[in-house]
Amino acid sequence: MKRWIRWPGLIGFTLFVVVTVALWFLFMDALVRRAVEKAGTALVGAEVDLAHAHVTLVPLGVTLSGLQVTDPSAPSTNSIEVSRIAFRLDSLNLFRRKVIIDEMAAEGMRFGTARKRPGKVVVPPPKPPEEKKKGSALPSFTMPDVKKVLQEEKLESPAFIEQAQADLKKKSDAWQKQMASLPDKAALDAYQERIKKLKEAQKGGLRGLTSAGADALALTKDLNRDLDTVKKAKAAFNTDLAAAKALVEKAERSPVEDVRRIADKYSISSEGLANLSQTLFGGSVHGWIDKGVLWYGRLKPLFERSGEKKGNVQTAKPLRGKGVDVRFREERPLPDFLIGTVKASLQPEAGTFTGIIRNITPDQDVLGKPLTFAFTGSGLKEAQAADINGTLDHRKAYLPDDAIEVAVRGYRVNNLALSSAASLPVSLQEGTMDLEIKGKRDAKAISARCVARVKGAKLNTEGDESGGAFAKAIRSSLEKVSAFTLMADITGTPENYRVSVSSDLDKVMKDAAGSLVREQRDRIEKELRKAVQEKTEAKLAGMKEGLGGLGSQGGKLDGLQDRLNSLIKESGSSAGGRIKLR
Amino acid sequence: MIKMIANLLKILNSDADPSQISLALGFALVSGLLPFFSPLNLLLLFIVFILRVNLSAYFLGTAFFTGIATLLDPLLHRIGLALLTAAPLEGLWTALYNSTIWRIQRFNNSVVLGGLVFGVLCFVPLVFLSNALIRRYREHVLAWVRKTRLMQAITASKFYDIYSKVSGWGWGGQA
Repeated sequence: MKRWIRWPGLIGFTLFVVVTVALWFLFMDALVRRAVEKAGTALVGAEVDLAHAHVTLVPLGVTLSGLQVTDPSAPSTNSIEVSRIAFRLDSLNLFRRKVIIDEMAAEGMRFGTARKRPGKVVVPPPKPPEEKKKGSALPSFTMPDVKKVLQEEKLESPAFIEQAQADLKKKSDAWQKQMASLPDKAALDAYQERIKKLKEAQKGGLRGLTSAGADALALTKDLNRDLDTVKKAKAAFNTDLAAAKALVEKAERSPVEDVRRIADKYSISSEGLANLSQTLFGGSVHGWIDKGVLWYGRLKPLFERSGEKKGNVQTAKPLRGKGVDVRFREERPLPDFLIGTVKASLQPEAGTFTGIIRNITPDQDVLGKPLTFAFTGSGLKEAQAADINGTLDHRKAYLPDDAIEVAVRGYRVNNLALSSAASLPVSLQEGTMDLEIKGKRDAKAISARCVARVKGAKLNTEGDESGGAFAKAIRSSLEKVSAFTLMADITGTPENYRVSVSSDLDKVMKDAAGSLVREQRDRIEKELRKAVQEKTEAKLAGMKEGLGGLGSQGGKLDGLQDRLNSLIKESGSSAGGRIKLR
Repeated sequence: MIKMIANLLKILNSDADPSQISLALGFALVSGLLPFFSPLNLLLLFIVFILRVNLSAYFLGTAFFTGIATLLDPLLHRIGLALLTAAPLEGLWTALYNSTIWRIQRFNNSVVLGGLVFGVLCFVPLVFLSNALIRRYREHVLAWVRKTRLMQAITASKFYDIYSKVSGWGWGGQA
């Protein structure tokens, strides 16, 4: 046994542990700083910097100073900067690998501050889809060259008319074949001959009358059968003719639709003119909402844990580290990470907000409480009052229920960009704004309404001359505006939502630019109509001819039916009225 | 890499008992597969210091198996997750989960448990296999290796001189 024990090893082990612990103490602050930067960067997807971290052991507490979080969509600015964060940790629970912070103080929070150097972006924000991008682009206000437009745009009407013409010809050919199967002139003449013979037989006495009766019955049966066939063919023909007429009408309308479609694309439509706010401000509003949605997604690991439940156990991906943590039923359940209360003071440009965030934990189901936040502006320099309240309820991860309410009164706005379109940028140079935002989000739908009422407004409109007379008219109308209301409605699913912007500025802009737009539209339509007409006129004439051909088949059917009816009548009278005919 | 091979050769060519080297490699395997700052690793370190195993081989082996663990992560995760989610073991894991001592070990992490189980299962085969290989190496290859320029350079170095002396004290594992 003695051969295998090395007693001096005890000293060696003690020395090793002492040196390691001493080094850990020495570098503890730096290690914590590095860990915060690494975890923050992984969470946010952009560089997180911390100026200083200080750890105290008795009681166990951490103070972080100068936290800067890079804005992923604008790396030269911080999305948030916090001067000081201080909290105490529950050391006993830390041994159970549970980070429980009863109270955290966050002071001097500011948003959108400039960075000394651009931060690294680890996970770039998703690019807006093409459809959303279009919202921020203004339509062309200049008169397009119709020849060029027609080279780029594909006309749908010529192909449609050709197709209609082919369909008509097909139908006409089919009816020609069917007409051949109906009684022709020879058959009708044969009927006439039989009637003549019937009449002669009547003159031949009693014997003649007997044989005439049988012939009359046979003749009547034959005539009625043919009449039935013709009547059925007529009914089918009428249906076909109605469909053909509808097709022709549609084909006749197709050049007009082509003109309208192209004109809509290259000029401002009446709908577009009625809602210029969407065109002008939609892009900016969408940008603000996208930013909010982006941050909601990035901060989601703080209030909802990704993982799955298998029976009584739950697998959960840890915020950092490899593998998955499997969680079992606890005798006294506690979240793995919990900040009970954050007392925060925000210092945006508007002034100072103070607020409380409660229950920050990815294990809301364990805690049984949702995350709530409430901020109130007090003694604000640039606003009379401000309140922000919200709840992020993810106790049932499959049934989230989030709500936010923002109310800002008397906010003095300075240089707020409303539209960034090159031809017509609009910014609110100054004004007093009352802002109300109410939003809800559940598993299936997202709905929010944002209303901004601005008084004492001074709208600034600059830009290049690419907008022409239209942009000029809009500019001069907006310069006279002193009060307006802007509304944004967000609807759809959390993954695919739609923002519709409306404003009472629409009427102002429509009045100013309506006549210009209508004039431009009329000119485009006139030129387009002429060009489209040239390409479709001959085809339309051919198509109408085809319809005429089909119609003539109907005339033949009518003639045949009339002839059969008269033969039946004649046949009845030749039988002396004794045989009842249809 | 060359330094690592040189260190390995130094250990293999020393007079250290093959069983002390192989035992050190066995402990190194478990240490390497566990997270570096794990309480279980501290316990293993204590055992390695107190038992007469080759420390150089242990530290060298730990570095080697830590690298291997990174490659084995997906396998270790699978093993750990299968064990942690096995219905018959749920009672055991639940009891351990509610014990602070076991929670500190972070046994409920799939990679940690997978690494521990894999390490413990491979411990005995590795000790026996490495022991046999070291003995064969010393019988058949050592004489040739000693004549190589690399080995001559190593034995001529001051570091080897110090190592030989320290080994004599028992730190290298020699009795």
